[in-house]
Amino acid sequence: MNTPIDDLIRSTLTDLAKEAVPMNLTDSAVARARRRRTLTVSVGVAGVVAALMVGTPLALAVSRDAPPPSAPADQPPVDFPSPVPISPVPSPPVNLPSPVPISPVPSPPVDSKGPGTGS
Amino acid sequence: MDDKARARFGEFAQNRTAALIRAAYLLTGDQHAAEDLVQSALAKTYAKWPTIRHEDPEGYVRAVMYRERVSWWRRRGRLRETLVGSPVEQEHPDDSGHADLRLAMRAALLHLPVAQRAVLVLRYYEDLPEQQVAEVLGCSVGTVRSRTHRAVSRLREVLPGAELVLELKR
Repeated sequence: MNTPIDDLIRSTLTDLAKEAVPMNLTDSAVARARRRRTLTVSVGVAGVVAALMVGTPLALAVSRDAPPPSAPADQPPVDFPSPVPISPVPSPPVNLPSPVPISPVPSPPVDSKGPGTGS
Repeated sequence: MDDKARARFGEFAQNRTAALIRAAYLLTGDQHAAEDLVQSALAKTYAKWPTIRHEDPEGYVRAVMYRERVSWWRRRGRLRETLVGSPVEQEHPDDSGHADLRLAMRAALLHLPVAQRAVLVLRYYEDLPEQQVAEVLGCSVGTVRSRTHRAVSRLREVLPGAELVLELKR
C-alpha cells in the first residue's frame, strides 16, 4: 500500500528526472572505452619492460658473481648395489668331507733315546 | 569487435541513453556528472559487449552505473553531498496543489546519502522490486529494506508535516 509520502517521493523523482537533458553519448563512450583499453595495454607493456630492465642486470650480476663450477674429481669408488642381498649373519659351519682321508691311526712312538745314541 | 556488434551497441546506446541519463541525474543531481556517469558505464559495457550482448546489456549498464556511483561516494569517505548552487528552478504547472512540499522533498532527496538515494531511485522511479534492486546494487534484500527504511525515515524527519498535509488534501 502506498502512503502519501511514497507518492510524494515518486512524483518528486519523476519531476526531477525531467530536468535531465538527454543526449547521445555513444561515440564518446566508445572513444572512452578505446582510450581505457590503450591505457591498460600501455601500462601492461611498460610494466613488462620495467621488469625486464630491472631483472636482466640482476640476473647477469648474480651469474657473474657465482663461483666457477668445480673440476670433476678423481673417480670415486662407486658402490654398486649388490644384486644379491648380503646378510651380515655368518653362515653355519658345514662338515664337508675332506678329499684326503684322515686316518685315526696314532703316530708311531718316538724313540726317547734319539738318533745317534745307539749302543 | 566486429562491425555488426559495434552497430548493435550503437543502437542499444542510442535507445537507452536518455533513460540512463535521467536515472543518473537523479543519482548525481547534476547534468555533467550524470553524463560522465552514463558515459563511463557505457564505456565499460562496450568493453564487455561481446560477452553480454546476448544476455541483459541494460541490466549490466544499470548495475555498473549505480555501483560506480555508490562506490565513488564510499571512496569519498561517505561525505554528505551539499549542493553548491540552488536547484535549477523550472516552472511546472502546479497540478497537485502542494508545490512547496515538492520543492522541500526535492531538496531533501538531493541531500540524502548516495546509497540511500540509489535505493529510492530504483524502488520509486524505476519501480523495481526489492530483489532486483539488490541484484543491481550487489547487496542483500535486507540491506535494500534497511536503506529504504532509513531514507524514508530521514525524509519524514526533514518534512515533519508533509504526511499530514498530504492526507488532508487527499
